[in-house]
Amino acid sequence: MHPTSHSRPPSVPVVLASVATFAIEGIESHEVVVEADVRRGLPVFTVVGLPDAAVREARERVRAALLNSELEFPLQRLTANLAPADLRKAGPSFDLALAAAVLAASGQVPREALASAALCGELSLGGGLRPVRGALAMAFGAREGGFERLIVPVENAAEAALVEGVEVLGVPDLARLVAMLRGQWRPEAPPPRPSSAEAPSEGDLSDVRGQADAKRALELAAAGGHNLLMVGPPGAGKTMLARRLPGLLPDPAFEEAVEITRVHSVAGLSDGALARRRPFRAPHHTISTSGLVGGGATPRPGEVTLAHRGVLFLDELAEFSRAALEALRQPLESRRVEVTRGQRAISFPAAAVLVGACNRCPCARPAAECSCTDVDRTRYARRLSAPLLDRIDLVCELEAAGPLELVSAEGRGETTASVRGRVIAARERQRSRLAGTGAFTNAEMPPRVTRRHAPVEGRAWARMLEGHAHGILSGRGHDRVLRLARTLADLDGRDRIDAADVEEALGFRLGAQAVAA
Amino acid sequence: MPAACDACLRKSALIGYLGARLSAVLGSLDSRLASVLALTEDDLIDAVAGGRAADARRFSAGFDAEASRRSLAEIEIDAICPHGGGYPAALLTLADVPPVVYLTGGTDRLRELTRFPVATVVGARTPSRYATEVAYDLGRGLAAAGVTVVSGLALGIDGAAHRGALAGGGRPIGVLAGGVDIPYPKRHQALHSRVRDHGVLLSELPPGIRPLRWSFPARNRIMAALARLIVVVEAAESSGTLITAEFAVQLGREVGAVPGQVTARLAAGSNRLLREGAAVIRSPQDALDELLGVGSPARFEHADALGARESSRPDAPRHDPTAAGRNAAPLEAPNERGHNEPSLDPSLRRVLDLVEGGEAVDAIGRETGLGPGRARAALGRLELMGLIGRDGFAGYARALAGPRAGPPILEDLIPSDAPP
Repeated sequence: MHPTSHSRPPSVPVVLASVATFAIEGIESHEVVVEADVRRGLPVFTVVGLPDAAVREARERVRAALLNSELEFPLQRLTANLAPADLRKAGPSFDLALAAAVLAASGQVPREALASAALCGELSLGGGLRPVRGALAMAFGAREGGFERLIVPVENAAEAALVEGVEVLGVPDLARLVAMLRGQWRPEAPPPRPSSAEAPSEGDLSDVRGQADAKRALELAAAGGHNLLMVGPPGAGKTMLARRLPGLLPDPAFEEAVEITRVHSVAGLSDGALARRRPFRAPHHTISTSGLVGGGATPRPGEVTLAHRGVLFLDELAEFSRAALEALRQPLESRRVEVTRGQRAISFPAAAVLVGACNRCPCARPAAECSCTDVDRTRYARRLSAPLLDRIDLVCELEAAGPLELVSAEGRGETTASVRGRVIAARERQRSRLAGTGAFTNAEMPPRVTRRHAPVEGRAWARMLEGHAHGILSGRGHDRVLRLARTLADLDGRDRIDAADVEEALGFRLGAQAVAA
Repeated sequence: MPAACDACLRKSALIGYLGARLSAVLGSLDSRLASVLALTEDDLIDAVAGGRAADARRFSAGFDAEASRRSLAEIEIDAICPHGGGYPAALLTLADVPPVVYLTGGTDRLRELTRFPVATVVGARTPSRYATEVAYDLGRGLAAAGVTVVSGLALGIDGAAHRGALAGGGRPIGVLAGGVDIPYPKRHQALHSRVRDHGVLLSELPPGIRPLRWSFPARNRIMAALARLIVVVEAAESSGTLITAEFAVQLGREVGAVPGQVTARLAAGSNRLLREGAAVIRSPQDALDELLGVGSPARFEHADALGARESSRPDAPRHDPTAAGRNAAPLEAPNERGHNEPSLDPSLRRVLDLVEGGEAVDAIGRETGLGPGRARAALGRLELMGLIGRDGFAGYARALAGPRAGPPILEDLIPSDAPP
């Protein structure tokens, strides 16, 4: 570029304005500057800077919204640039910034009013503002970018206001925006952070009759964040039990709730308030790989990310496509999903407890009526993908509840609240012990941490050695059993793992044959 | 070196040549099998060759026995016929004596192995875990007692019996439905070569012939004829295994069966055999009692049967059961295994019984009053002791191998404050 091209010939009056907004990539927001250049010439409105179809259509919405708000749409040569130009911009959230840039460039609002503000919002033709996805991520971006104010559609205000240090201004329509920028109107402060009232429950644990073994496994999964596989015939209550797992988990801490809200906001699932309950996601087994782990041309979070800090339930585990199950392995290991698109790597959080459910054999009938051969069963087990089973610490078996259990009172067992009390206490022990290791639960402990934080009594140690000597335990199995035994000791309020913990952990582990098959 | 005569070799080659035609004529469960195979060459060609009769006659006329012997020698396969030496006498009791038996391992080895009591173990190709363990146990126990174990190298029970026999230090005989040089089924390739190395592979079809539909029941009749006792481990109704048992009955051999669950379809055939009077086989000892009479010794004096010093005692009486094993250690009978667990505490004992009864973990926790967590712990403990094993994903089943001889004083070795 020739250096003199910067100097403006005085004969051509140019009006330039720039306004900040954000593009969402993954669950992160990237600052985008909208520059508007208005000059004399044939009336035309051009948008450049890697816009997608929805952003290009913004021209029509901006034009109509301005005119319908009794504002002026400059009949001049209008160019808008979205910078940086190498970042793909998708969706309608740029409408408001485009409109503001045009207003500023055409002198309808003071430019200095936009100097330390960022804007986002979708315009309707009538000039009203529609809520956008990812408002929370944008608010985080605004804070990091050093903006003082973030102007959002009024529906997004409460969500964006979860981020402290940025003034969030909720605006209902374009006319109010102009009034506000001119200093003639001020929006109400967004509603205070929603109080964490008792989350409505999915149902109580005591609704499930019998299934003491599975309930014990569920408690362990909740207490230590362990992945769980439930094996049993249809109708035994696998889904009912899995749905009750989020209720057994402690309420999300504020930071966790913000993470959940952020993910759900990006996916367009947020109701605009702070998430008060842990997500429970149960995708159907026909789901695609990218639906499960995330992806697409403009990467969207998958089910494992939507279940972040909650529970991902995969019913009929053997029916999922092999590719989808294999793709789950990395998120389960690293608790993140990495998606690469062109030159850019996008990362989604994916710290969910996996609960899988499957039948004992392909025919799914009770043991007495089953006619499956060992070959059938081996084939069925093989469909479950060994790398995935390798990440499962706990396995339990369910039988269809007998008639006695269905009618008698003693089949009910404990309530969610009483189990939850123990889970919270066990989690608290883990949190204080694991502080500084990067792990919050026993299931997240890397091997090195496991061996340091799982002190084992002499007799318990002998059990582990016996397991190795008899080929029941492998190197990987060793850590898994230790982690689960650690959780058992935590539930019991003990510092050291005793022999009974090891034996029980051995009893709950997935048989090596099933993994090898 | 015994070898087959020209006429027998020619007939055997003709049967191989007409193999596919025979498949077309005979169903897999055809009772005419014996009568067809017993036909003379000309009659056989007339009976089955159909449009290819002329070709078959030309093949038969052009057969070069000497060339055939040479190529057999090249691949180290022996061929024996009733007219030469070394032919197993047991096979002469068949209505349709195989004209030639092809074998690996040498005729001396075969002669030696058939001098000991011979037991055939057969069963389902897709057996239950329980039956697989029993078959393995039988193979091992019988081999350790010096019995020659015969089976068909098929998937499931056959393979388990062979593996057990090899594990017991025995030299099993594998009877194949195709040529002895063709590992069938493919999945048993490794087992095929182990049996070839340690024991004898045997077939009535010439090398290079793939197994045919009719050759499986034909193979079964050889397995039945070779043995004094045929043990059926698990067989569904109308299965190939029952054909073997039927041949055995016709040949006047002893038939035994391992009891299965009365509700299990897989064991319906073997259970019916028991109902009809087959001997109940619960352990290698039961099979030995059946072979040699009750209270038989547990082991024959035959160091060479274990493949050790073959020439050390060439003339020793090898299979006089009453004289031989008197001073040998008695074989542990697995059905008395319960007495080997004296130290089991009563609640573990109860859990073990419930596992044996097929109860799920939930029921075990309830019945014993242990509750879910401690029931799992008890299962973990029993698994460590080797008394139970995994069944499927989450279930448990009684292990047949018996208590594990783990490092016995492990706990004493560990200080009470072991380093993690």
